[in-house]
Amino acid sequence: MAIVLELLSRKNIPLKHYKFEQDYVCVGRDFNNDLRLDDPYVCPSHMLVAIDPESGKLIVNDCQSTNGIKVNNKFVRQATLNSHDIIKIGRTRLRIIDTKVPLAEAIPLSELEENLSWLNQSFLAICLSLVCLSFLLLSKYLGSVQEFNLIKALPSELGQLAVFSLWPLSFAILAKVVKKESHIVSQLSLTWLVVLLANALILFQKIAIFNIHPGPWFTWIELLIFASVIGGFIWLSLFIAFHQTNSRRNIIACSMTFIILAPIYTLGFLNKDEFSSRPSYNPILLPPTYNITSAIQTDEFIENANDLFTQVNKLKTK
Amino acid sequence: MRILLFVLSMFCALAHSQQTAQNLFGQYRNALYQIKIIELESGNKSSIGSGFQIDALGNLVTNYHVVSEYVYNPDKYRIEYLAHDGSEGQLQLVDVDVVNDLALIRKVALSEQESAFPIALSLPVQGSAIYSLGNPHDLGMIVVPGTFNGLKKNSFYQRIHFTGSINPGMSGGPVVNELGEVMGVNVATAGNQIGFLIPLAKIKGLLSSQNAAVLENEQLKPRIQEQLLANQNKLFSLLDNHHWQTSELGEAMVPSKITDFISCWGGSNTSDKEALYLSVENRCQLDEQIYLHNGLRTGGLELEFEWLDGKSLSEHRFYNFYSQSITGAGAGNNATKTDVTNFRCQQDKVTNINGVTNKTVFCLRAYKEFDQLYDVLFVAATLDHSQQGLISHYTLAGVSKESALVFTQKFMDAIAWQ
Repeated sequence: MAIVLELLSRKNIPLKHYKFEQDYVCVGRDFNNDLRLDDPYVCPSHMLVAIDPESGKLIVNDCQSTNGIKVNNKFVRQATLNSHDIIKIGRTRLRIIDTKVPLAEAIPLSELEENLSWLNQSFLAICLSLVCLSFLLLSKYLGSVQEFNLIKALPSELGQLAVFSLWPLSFAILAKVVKKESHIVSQLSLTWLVVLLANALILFQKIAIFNIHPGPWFTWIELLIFASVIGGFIWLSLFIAFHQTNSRRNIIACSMTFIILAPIYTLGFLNKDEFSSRPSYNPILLPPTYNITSAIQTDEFIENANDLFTQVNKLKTK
Repeated sequence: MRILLFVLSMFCALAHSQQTAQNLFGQYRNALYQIKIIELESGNKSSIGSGFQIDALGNLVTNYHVVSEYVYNPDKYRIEYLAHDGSEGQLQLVDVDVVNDLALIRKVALSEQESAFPIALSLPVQGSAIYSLGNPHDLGMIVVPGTFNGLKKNSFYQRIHFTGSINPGMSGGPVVNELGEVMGVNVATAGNQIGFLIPLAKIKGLLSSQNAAVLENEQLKPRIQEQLLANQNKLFSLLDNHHWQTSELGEAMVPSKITDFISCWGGSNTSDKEALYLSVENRCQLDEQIYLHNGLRTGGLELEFEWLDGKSLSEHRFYNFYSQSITGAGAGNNATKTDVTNFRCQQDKVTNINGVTNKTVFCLRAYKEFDQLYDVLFVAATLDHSQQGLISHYTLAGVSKESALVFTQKFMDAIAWQ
């Protein structure tokens, strides 16, 4: 039987693993050892890990080291080891692996992952960021009534783009920290796509409000769509960045969406109907091209206004 | 020689005017009072004004706004007078005329000798010397000589135009002719040497309550409501029965001078050479509002039309700007949370009888203290052109449902394309 040791980082992340086809392993700083550790706090001959010939279990022996051995954070001179015990000698951490214990089944390769691979093209990411930039510039241009100066508008819009890219960057950095592959290109492409989608939805929202003047139910639809866009975005960002189980990812995505939306909507509901001398109405006006639904006659409008009087009369009693 | 004569006559006139002023003050000072509103909690005065006695029954006339605090909170204030000789006493509220800013108050205890101002039979001729009496800044009673310049032209709420300085605190004081007869009440100042007075006719209206019983606290608000409703009925029946003249504004025809007592002003941005759009404005308003209390004015009306032509703007750019232009319209009168409800709005696309399609926003708020009275705010923007538009807007304060709806329909149907 072989002895398998895993070298761990300070946060117990595996760095390297060693497999010895022998019954004992000497560990120390000396070059004669089976496993040589370059740690100044480890003695030249620090410890011996061996298979007990009688029980077949692994045991560890301190070879009179200066700093001793800690198994699962307890100083020991000699101990029987179980699988996944962590031994600390000097400043080095090692994990004992029992090769007899079967490993978990492989996670089936997600089809989605294959389907999202097109996001990982630098060309696409660059194109999308240019589209985003031109979109931002266009909306700035459309929103201006003064002479439009592209050079003057560029810095602020680039700044906005930089703010947007903080999201994919932070995911890339997190991914890099935990598992070395950042997927920055995919994250960037995803972000630009979501920015464009959000703007398209805003345009649809304007057209809908302008044409049908919806009641309060529309706010709930808006909330639903807004939440699913944000939730989906977070879910996909997580999916690209980390390898985690679906349920874990769902929970994280849902809770992050909630954390983002809750303050916005609670503030909105708390401020609801605060006294103001300015009425709240929707001032959206769109060019004749977007004017789809038909208009009513003056008489009908005046007729409808009767309900409004009843509505404000009810407010008096509150 | 002529110059000498002129100077002499000027001097005489001046001397004469001083003489009259002195006489007047001496003659009627006993009938002139300072009105104090005493806050019960602190026992000190919270506001002051002037008032004058009109009969031996102890009836005094002052401005409604002088006693408005008491009207709104009769449990927290009381009304007192301070006479010329330093004597003080309590007053009761007999009647109010909110529309003309007048109040009739009565002495609780009468003295042996009551003196009163006589009421003039008619207004004097234009240019006559008149004298405004009052108590500005709590400094003691004073006389301000001035000139009667007739009734203010084109006003719905009638006022006398007075050349002379009315100061805060003189409110409620009488204005007398050379014979010492009351022909007006001080009410407002419109800047340097121009003041407005409530004319004789309105005072006479109030005098019908001379023998009436004192108003109970709970009768005050219904009385005000009744007066406000009657006033707005009068105003809106005048407006609705009147034919509204229209005038060109850009490519549209809009109502311009809808009646004489609404003054209109215009403006445009043609002098701004860098502007990418043309904006021509027409605004009309009723100059006076009715004062109800410190935070609440009503009875006002304003109309506004703006023609926008985005000749150098693309369609989308123009409509973005157009949307901004109808954003954030606010009420035309002051009101607080305790006076009115929040606004509620109705929005729709409406085509009027002339085929003009507007995005129309109609907003309302109700008066909490007065049933059947509302403030209305209306904004509409035409949707017929791709680079031009007409914004029409009005606010009405203190109107009934019926007046509001009739006015709104007339207003909406008054707009046409040329």
